[in-house]
Amino acid sequence: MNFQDWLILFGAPILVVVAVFALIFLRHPRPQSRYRAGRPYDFKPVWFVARNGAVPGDSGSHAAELEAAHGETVASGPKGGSHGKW
Amino acid sequence: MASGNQVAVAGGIVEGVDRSPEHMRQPMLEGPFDVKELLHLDEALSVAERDGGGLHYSVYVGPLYDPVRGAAEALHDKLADPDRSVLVAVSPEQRQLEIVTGRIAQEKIPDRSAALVVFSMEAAFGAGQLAGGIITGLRMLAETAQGR
Repeated sequence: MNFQDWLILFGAPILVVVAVFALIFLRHPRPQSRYRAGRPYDFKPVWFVARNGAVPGDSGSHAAELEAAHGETVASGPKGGSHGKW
Repeated sequence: MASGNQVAVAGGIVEGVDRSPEHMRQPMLEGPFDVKELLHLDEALSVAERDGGGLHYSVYVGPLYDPVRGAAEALHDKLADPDRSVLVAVSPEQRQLEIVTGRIAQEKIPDRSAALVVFSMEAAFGAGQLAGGIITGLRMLAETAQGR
């Protein structure tokens, strides 16, 4: 067996495998969530609402200043719900 | 902790009509979700709002100062109609989750049902699926409210 035979026997399949992997992973990188459990979290807080005007003071601006702790809010009464940790 | 931070507020159904996508894009993408996840969240919020028993749903993802429950309730009080609103507050940094229901919302989503939703969301968050957990939670909350 000369070098050319070796090249055809092993080189060609390896080339095909590499080409397929390149096609899959370079053209369509695997989607990865930005959040990773246990990793440092340094994203900006986001607040999604499903209708216009649900958050007072939001009209007209795409970002609202959140004054959760010190803002003037009126308690609306007893609240329910649940809480958890993971 | 949350005070003073810029909070990007996205509209699921009608909000954003009067805004160009370029203005919405940047602050949203500084959050923990990519475009695909944002679209799924938007859809889940829209569906919850439409089929969720007449309640209003919102999702906050960010730090919650101590006490966490108090912070979540303060955020809930900031909503336009707190009595009919359901707030899902998630703090990935503290790995804490709060569901806050208003007076009327609590009648449709009892605390026991909210606890079940929390269990499901915790499982998803533990697996690193932040958006998936929130979407699951919204669906379950809406289904619970719709059925009562």
